[in-house]
Amino acid sequence: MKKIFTLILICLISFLSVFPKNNEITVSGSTTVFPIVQKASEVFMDKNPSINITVRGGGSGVGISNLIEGKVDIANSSRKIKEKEIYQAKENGINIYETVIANDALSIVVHPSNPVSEINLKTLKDIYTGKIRNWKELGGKDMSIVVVSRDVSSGTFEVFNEKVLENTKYREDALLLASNNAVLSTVKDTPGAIGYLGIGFVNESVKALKIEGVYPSKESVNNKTYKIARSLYLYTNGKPKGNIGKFIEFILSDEGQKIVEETGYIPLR
Amino acid sequence: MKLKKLSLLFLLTLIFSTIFAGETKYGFEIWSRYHATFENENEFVLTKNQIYSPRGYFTVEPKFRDDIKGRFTLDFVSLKDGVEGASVRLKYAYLDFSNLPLKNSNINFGLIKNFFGTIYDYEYPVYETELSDKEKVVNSADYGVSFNGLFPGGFGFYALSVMNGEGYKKTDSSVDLNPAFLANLRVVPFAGLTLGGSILYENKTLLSPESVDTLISDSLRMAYVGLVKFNYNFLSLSFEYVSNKIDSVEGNGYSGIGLINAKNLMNIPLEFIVRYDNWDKNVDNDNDSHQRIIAGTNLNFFKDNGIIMQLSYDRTMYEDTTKVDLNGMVFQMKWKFSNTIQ
Repeated sequence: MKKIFTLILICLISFLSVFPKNNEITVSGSTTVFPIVQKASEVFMDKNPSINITVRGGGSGVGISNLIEGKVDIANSSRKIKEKEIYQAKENGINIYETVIANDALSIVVHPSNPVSEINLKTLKDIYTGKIRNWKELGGKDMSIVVVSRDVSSGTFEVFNEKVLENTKYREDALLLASNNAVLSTVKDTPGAIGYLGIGFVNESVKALKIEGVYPSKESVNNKTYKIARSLYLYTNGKPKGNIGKFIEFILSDEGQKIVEETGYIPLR
Repeated sequence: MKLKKLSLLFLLTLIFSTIFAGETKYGFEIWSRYHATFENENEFVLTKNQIYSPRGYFTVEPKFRDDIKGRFTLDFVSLKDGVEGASVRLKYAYLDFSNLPLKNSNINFGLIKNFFGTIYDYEYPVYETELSDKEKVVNSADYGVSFNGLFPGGFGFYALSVMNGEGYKKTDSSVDLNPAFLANLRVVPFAGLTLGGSILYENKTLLSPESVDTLISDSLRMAYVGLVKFNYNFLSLSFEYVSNKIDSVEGNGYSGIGLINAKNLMNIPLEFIVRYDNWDKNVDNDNDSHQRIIAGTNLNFFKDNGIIMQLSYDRTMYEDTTKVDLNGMVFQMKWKFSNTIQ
């Protein structure tokens, strides 16, 4: 009986080993990092037609979870991986390797008609926890504040939660949205709204506020005067090799970093 | 009456979590099973041929703050493989506090997970429960408090628990006054290799349900488990050795599982599994051990394993030659879904 099972096992492994994985790279995770990786993958695939890259969103938490379960090759994340996730990955035989590909300024945005143009971190926390509920308390119009946030699987949500809210509870009627684009669209269409976005999503349809007197920009992130800056990451199983290594090297190259800048984010150099 | 109480508790949890929690995750998991068993002394004789749902879990996980969460799980279980209908019982009902001074640590309080061996993170690669659960060494949940934490760099996990020691299934008939103490340690020296062990100590004093002045038994129980897990690319191997000693009577055994994940080789969501168990109820007695082989496949229909189809062949061989060996075929569909309300 044991011999039969051993034989079946050997045959099975041999049979399965005949089928190599094709030239596919799968990526999932942060919607903040998505535009960089999406654009970079298009350019990379033009240069390397035999390689196919699939990029999906879902949020940083989903991307990291997919990597831990071996479902994707690369996880995009707009937050640093957690200790618990590293432990789960190691148990699953995944050796987490981190690559920083860009920097970002978490931008606080309001409707363009809103006269308020500056805010400090304490006031921002008071707005998101419900202590301040009307713009007139901040010298603005007599208008209710509509709080717009990202959902819980988002790395942007976690960074904002940690750096601004210090893990206190959100206002119960806050709108929790699934993507940066959804936040942008809601703030654009709602005069009383306030939201937060990766800097790459900020455009003329919304107004970015100064935080502690500083605008979110490449300069203010590099000279560390902007208070809610962060890095953007790619996580892989071990140091990236082969096609995955080639793709990440491309993002880190001058051409890749130019794509980072074109998508509105802050390149590493 | 019990169902009414559970329904009330469930309703209160829903109301409580909806009002006070920042977000609440709801999840449902159902197993539907066809099970055929054959005895084969000289020829295969069909002795069981059933379709039933052995498990249904409904879970509510409210998150009050980032560092205070709860978990509440109802377990819908078929009694005697569905022959006697079904019942509902509470599986988990605990609060998880991670706002502790020690980083990456937390305290669970209530009807908590039992961190013995692999029972708390066993993911049912085959339809059967984990060895220590199957042989009734421990239950997967118990009333108590547990202090858990992670070592830096994902190097390992530890848990120290004080529990009732009676599990979550026992509700009457006898009263055990003494707590059970559990220590669990897992280390991951490098990605893919996990070494671990747990020890459970309990001074078990059973009193009569009719009169707490009547002592039924007073015994000392010591259970321990050692485990090794190896995960590399498409291959997962795990082995655990379990011992359960009550006074001078020791039962022990081991379980080994090998799994090949074809997803990592051919991008087909298929797994091939073989499990081998050996359990000796009393090492000092003859003719009370058995071996078991389960071999099968799992097909994951949707991403995130939303629907899994399991097909298994199962053979149990008894040391006692007067008992007839059993062969089983199991076809099982597991499906689950969850949603987070913010």
